[in-house]
Amino acid sequence: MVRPLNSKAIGLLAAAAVALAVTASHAAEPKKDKEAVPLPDVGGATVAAPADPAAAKPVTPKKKRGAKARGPSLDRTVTVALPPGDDVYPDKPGAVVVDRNCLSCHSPEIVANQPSLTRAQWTAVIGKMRDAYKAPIADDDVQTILDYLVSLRGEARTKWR
Amino acid sequence: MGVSWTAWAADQLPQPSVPPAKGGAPVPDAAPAPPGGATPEPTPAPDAAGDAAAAEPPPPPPPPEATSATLPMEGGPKDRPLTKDFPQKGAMVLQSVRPPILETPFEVFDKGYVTPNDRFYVAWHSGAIPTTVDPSAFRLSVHGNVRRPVSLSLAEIRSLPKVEVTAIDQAPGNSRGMFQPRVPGVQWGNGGMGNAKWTGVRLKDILDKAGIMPGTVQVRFKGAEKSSNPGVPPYMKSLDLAHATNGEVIVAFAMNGAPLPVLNGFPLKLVVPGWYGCYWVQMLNDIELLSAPDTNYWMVSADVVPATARGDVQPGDTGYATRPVGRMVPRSFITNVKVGEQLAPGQPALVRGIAMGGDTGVARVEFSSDGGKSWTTARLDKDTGKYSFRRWQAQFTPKAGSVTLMSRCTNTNGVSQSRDANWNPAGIMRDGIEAVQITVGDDGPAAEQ
Repeated sequence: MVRPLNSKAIGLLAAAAVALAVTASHAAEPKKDKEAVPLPDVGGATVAAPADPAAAKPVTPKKKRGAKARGPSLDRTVTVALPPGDDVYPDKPGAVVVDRNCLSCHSPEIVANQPSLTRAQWTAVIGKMRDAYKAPIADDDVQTILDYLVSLRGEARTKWR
Repeated sequence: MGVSWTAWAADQLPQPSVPPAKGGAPVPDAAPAPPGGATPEPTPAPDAAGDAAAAEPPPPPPPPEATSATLPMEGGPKDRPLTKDFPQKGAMVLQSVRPPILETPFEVFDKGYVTPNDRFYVAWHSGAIPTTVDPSAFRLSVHGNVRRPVSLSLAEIRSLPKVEVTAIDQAPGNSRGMFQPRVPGVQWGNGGMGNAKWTGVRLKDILDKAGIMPGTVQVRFKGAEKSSNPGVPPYMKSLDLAHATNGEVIVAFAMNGAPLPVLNGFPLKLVVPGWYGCYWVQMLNDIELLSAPDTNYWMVSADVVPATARGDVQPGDTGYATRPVGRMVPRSFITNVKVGEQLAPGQPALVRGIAMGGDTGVARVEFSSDGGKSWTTARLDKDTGKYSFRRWQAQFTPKAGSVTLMSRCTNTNGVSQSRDANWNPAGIMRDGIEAVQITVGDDGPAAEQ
């Protein structure tokens, strides 16, 4: 039942993906004004706690001047790497056409996770992708894509009224 | 009952026994991360290794880490990979790589009323998300029907009075996979939601910096997410002016005491307590005051439900009026018993879970161990705010056989979950009672299943 394609591809990408690099480049020397109120590192436990909510804003910066910022910070540039996802749809008749038309917006697993649907439902999905999301699907490709999608899990026998 | 706004001081109050959010956990004695290098991955839970040095028999080896999750959806596909491949995230249920759509594994909800940042669900609309964010260059623009357009730095925003609210962020399509008949869309299980303590400033205070002009009817929000194809409007959502300025809607720069993970909208996210997550615009960088109702695609065509109280139609119905989804509805879940689990007969069992009132607080939760024929009142844990999860628990003594467990939440407006779930073709705003089928047999409680 698992679509192994996902986990496999993801596995390959693991190294790159976790390469979350929070560069230590302090964007700007903390200004003298109170804006530089540091966020608590965790749980707010170390934050000075004014009793009066009205006084909550300009908390004086923490005493420890040289303390290292820890964890994610609002004062540093954050760079992350996102896995690109698979670049091919499951190999069934029509997959090449689906690759050509569908990959530019989304990777395949979201389609692989769809349940059995009716032809009418899949037709509406293709229509939405063309009209609302501007997928450049040629008229000639619509039937191929429809057949491919229906073939993934078979056509639903829905008890619509 | 007003919202219990609290300043930072609230963090000094006794906290429930919720472990600190891992996403915000400090990396112990982490040297400053080398540029482009080390990964401030959440450190392994200390309890995993901490006791090892203790006395006595060595603890049993930890169970092998799960690599997939099974979602309780009839008709499947039920299986999803569990992935750790996304930045600032621990193990998540993979729904989509691009755009990133990640579900919170359901057992996380059994651990506390707050969802840790590194397990908090993720949803985007296109794959086009900035992957580098420089907070010092970030600006939030406020324009449109205002006296003076402004472009606010994070520093300027953070100089406004801070407020905090604990609130549930739930995708409108959460639990779409449970719709019967099934509908297309992200096939969420029940983990397309999370609850966090959000810290930020009132939206109203930000709007006042620009000066709201008379004639403003709605306020529109846009983030740094780009659309996937030319010609597709960028993701934008709007709130009525009265809602936007009610003091409850905030622009958050922290969740659970730490900056937002990038995939949850770093550095700023709109927080609309009691409303579905589609309004909680991520990487918020643009606010426009409108003098006419917003008719952009994302308001009139996406996330719309039939214009009925429950957003409900019969499959096959056509020609009905629609409205944008908005307020959330009461829901409740059992968190410590999974579908298909086995229990021992005759032994009192503790069932616990979470409930949400939707757009208001939880008044009560009832529990049924006979498929809804009879109900007992569950004990509610402490109230952590009307927009927060309310944990609950109940006891029952299972009898042998197949047993259907259910929970039913009633909110403080008197709205209860219905036995029959609502249905609409978009698969959003699910409100029905969720059932967990288990087997009570003589084999005793089965191991994790």
